[in-house]
Amino acid sequence: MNTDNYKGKPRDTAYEKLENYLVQNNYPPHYRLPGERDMCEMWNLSRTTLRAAISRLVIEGKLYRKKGSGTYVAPPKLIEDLQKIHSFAKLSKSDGRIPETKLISMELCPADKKIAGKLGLSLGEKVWQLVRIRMADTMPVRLENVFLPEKLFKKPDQNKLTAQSLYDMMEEDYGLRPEHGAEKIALAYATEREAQLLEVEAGAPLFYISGITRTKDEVAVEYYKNVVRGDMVRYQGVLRDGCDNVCV
Amino acid sequence: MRINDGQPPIYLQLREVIREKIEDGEYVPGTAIPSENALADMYHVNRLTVRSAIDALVTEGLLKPVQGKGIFVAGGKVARDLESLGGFSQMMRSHNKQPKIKVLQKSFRCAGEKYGKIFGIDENEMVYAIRRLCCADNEPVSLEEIFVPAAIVPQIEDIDLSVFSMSEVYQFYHIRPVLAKQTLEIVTLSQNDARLLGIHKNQAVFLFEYISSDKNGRVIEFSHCYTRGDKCDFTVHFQR
Repeated sequence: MNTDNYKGKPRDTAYEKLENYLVQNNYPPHYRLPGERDMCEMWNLSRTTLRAAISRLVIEGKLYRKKGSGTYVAPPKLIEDLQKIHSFAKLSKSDGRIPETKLISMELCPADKKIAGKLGLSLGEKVWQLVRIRMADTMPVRLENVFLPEKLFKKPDQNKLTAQSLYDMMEEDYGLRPEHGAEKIALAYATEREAQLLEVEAGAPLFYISGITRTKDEVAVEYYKNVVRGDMVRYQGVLRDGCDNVCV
Repeated sequence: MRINDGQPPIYLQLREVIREKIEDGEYVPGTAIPSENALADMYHVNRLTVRSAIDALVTEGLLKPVQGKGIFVAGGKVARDLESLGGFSQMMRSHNKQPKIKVLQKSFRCAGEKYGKIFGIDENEMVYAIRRLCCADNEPVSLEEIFVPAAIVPQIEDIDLSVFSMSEVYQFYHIRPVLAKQTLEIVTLSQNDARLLGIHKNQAVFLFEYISSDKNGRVIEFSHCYTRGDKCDFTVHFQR
């Protein structure tokens, strides 16, 4: 077969070349790429084609541009496994980043209809509402809004909520081990307050993730509504077929 | 092959003729069989007879009629959707909507460095690239880019991809994806792609990337699926 007819569009080829070039050279974050003219020469591309390829990689979050300065390698996103119970601390550490937690507020309040329903409580039963910011290398990544039934957690240790994972606190202080859960993922745009806490612009796209975590005995230990920076995180999972012990 | 006035009714004879052609691979899964008129002319029978033969095969699930397009060869039972077995299950917010797939582009191309590496094939080997728009009630929901090594899906260009899902196509070729690595990100689109999806350029979308492989670990599909965040959300189950 004569393959010349099947080379694909120049801008697609250019995009794939550039992407490969980044992968092969494994440049560190914020590395400045050669000038456009040099890259055009290197791959024998027109300026327009090269720019189209760069734009696509900028859209994909692999490169970023600085006005009057050039094109840079974007820092990689944090990769979080959706099918494993979430541990933000483990996640950032495995990526060589330093995790940090800031407790914004912790209040005891009566459960409204929705939260009572989610946690299997009666209307008006007390819940702790925690607002926390999770950071990696001092960059805010996730804003958490967590509800814990007070009847299960009398007085969560504030120090543990910043120094340690919430799940460790549940297990060590109350003997409740979070085992599994289900959550819903949607797309949202940052409100003024979220933008301020996450250090993004208002209207920046975010993952909106709400869910319930349970113990092995199906006790609901938390209901959460988190927002996560879309420019910082990528989720991953594995789908399997022919595996009968996977229950959904 | 001629149809004669033997014992069984003529429509039953014709049914068996069509069945044989499907079994022999003359009528390939995913492609349309000749029209009713053409079949009537071919075998010198009337259209009603053709209709009865086809109806019988439709009932058996061997053929699939598609309004305004013709009668297509189906390919056995549809494989279970990977999505339903774990990880995300994509849920259209509005149920009972009429799904529709519009094929925007389909072509052979060289694997090139990128896809050569993904599929473990030579850069000069062919891959089949498909771009399609998935709609619900005529409203765009997702834009998909699918790449498959051409060697494993010969004659794919004859399959109507607006009629058959990729899992049906794989079934035709006895390919069974058993594992898909999936990632989910938030991205924005180019102006053109945003327009295709019917959203503003500044609106973000979910990007799903799937790398699917069969039980021998052979990568059979690479796909990108840009999904409107205002149309869909996803459910995930997690455990220790």
